Amino acid sequence: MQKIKFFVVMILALFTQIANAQDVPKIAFVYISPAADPMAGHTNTSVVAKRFRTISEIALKPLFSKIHPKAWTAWIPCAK
Amino acid sequence: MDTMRQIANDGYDMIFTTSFGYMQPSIQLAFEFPEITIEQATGFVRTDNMSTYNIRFYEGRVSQGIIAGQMTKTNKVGYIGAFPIPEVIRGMNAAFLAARSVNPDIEFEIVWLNSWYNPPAEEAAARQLIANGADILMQHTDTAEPMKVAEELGVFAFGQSSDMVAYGPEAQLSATADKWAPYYIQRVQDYLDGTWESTDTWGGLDTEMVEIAPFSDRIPLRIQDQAGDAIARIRSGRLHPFTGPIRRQDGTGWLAAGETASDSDLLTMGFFVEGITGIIPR
Repeated sequence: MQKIKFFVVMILALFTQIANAQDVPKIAFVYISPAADPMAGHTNTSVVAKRFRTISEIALKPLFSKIHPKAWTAWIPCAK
Repeated sequence: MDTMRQIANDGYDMIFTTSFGYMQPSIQLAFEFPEITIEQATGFVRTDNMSTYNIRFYEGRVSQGIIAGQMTKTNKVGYIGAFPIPEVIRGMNAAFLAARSVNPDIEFEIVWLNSWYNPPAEEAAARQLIANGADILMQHTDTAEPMKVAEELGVFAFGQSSDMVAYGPEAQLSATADKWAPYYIQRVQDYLDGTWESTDTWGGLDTEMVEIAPFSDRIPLRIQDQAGDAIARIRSGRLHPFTGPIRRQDGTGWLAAGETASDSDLLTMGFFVEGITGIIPR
């Protein structure tokens, strides 16, 4: 009986997860990656963090969570 | 384009493409994936599922020009530009006009890097400009390297896109700080609410999408007041950074006395104003 209960709970949890996942907006930010620059070896994280877009995006992560607790954000490097 | 298509195929619902250079692939993406909501930064093409958004960076340049024009001892400002696109050219022109309004002898030396992000090139350009006599640096590139050089060599500089005072505590006179976050938050909220529509947004000092970092206490109060007054007047709509009479670099007329530039003119600006001696690469 306990096993049956366990499996029922697991299946319900799985369905809930699938249903929730379908409601989750996935948001991507495509920005210029320093790694796209051939001189990127000269960069360092503190300089990268000073890039305004990076700062905004870092700041956004918790803010997006306030809007939608399940919002997915992605920081995707992309060369021009 | 391949990266963007990959993102779309990965099931992303909303994609912010945060640079002018992404305009063409964003347009293509918008047509290929009409179910995806796209926000394209600093471009000018919109579709039903793609908005554009931008910041009037040039408004922040006016106070910098007013300060630079009066803080320079060599009458020479060094300006490091990224790409020769209207966004960057507008900033140069706005800064120069403001500087010339307080110092008719001001000169701008401009260096183009063709990159938003190239720390070694930005550093080298800063050193060269200072060697050429510039005692104030401005930049429209993304790193703090010019600010670091200014700090090292004992000249002044303005931070770009964010407050860079940590890199130039003695050098920084002020900075423009771009505030994208409120826009992003609002647009994502609109998407979540189902109220998102394709729009064009171009905010400036009035909407606080661009803010001015605190003035250095090295700037005399009189100049601080002058710069602060310009900021207040732009914010309230009483001052337009491009108000005639203004001639183009080649001497031809652009704006008559009292005439202000239209947004269309600003969005397509591809020339220097009279007095700037540099060239715009084609």
